[in-house]
Amino acid sequence: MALLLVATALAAPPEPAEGEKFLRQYFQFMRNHDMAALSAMIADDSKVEILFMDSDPPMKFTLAKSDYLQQLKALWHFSREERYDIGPIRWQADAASGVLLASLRETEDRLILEGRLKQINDLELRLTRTANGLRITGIRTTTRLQDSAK
Amino acid sequence: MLGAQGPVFGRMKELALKSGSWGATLQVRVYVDERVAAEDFKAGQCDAVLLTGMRARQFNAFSGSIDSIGGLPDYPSLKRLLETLTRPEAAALLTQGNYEVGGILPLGAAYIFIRDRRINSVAKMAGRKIAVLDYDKAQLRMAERIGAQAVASDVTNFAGKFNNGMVDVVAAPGVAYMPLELYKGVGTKGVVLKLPVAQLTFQLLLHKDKFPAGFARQSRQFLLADFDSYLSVIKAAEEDILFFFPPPDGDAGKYEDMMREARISLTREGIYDRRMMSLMKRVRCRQHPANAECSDSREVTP
Repeated sequence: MALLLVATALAAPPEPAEGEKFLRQYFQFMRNHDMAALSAMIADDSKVEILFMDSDPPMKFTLAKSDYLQQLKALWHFSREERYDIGPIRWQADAASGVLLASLRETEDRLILEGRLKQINDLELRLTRTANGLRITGIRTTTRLQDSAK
Repeated sequence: MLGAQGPVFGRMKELALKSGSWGATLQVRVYVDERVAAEDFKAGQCDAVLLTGMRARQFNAFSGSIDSIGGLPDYPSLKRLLETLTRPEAAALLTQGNYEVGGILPLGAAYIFIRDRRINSVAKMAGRKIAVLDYDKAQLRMAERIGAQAVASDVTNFAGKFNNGMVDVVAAPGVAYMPLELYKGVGTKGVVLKLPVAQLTFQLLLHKDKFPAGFARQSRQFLLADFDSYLSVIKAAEEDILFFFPPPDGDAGKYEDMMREARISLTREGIYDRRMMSLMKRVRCRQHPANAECSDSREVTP
């Protein structure tokens, strides 16, 4: 019996410098409300896991990419005077999976529905080199909301 | 969707234009209160009427049960069901006494709108106030099942009650979100549960003896032909909904089980039509054969 061995070379995780440039661009597209550009940066089969800390116990939701983008679009529609602040990014590369994990705190502030809403997201974004280039292949966020009536 | 400039009214006008070639000419009259429209239809002041599926149930229990709780999970299932109903063998089911169904249009899935996202389970709805349409016994029974306080409402006031805090929970389609300003009631503390609790419809009812043979069949096909264009309006409206989240991870199955048990109970009580429940189960299981319900015989009419 002949055995055919196929060796598949797994892509190395992206370099942090490349990841940093990519994510700074991602958040700039978020500020610009550029849905097409944001969508192109996220892999189609990505999941967004959101842990809302407001309730007791905290609630976890998992959104498909389309649901996540729909929420962004709706948020932009109702928001004014938006601000997105990005904290320092910490990097962790996993050679076995080819993933570069970015961890950061992102703070959003906006006027929405008669009040000011602050959203603090402790984010983990998985960056992977795909056939189409660098992509976000998963997002996890622990989110706290603080709102105040106008 | 709903106004005089919307696609539904537009399609009714097109139907009126087309109707002459089928042997009966229609004139369209607009009502602001569908209860009055239904009463005028019953009294013979109109030969046909377009009503929501829940209101249409009094004229045809079979088609009026399409809008049942958890009956169809998505739009492809609804389209498949409506296509099935245009087949010749379904015609008899769409006639009840002198009333005949002349067409069915999608109005969109009903979703649960909640003022406080801490009401994050069926158990936590107990004791909360929920607006129910006073002519739909199914909604009243559902409120009773989950231990919520039913607040009798109608389509003209349920949104106001939700937005001003008189009720904590309402069910509504996405097309109602912007026109009725439901985002005010949800605010930044609420949530809209992205889990269809019913597929709402508009249904055209005819006094059968006022129309030539074959008119209703042609009308049904005519109205179904535009399904995809209505759906694009519905989906565009759903794109606007803020804080639109699926149930928390692991909870979707519990909601589906709760809706299924409610549906079975309401069918047993005679509120939903057994034949439609059986047909919808076949549609659900054709679309999603791996679902647990597809391996049991409940909701199946032999």
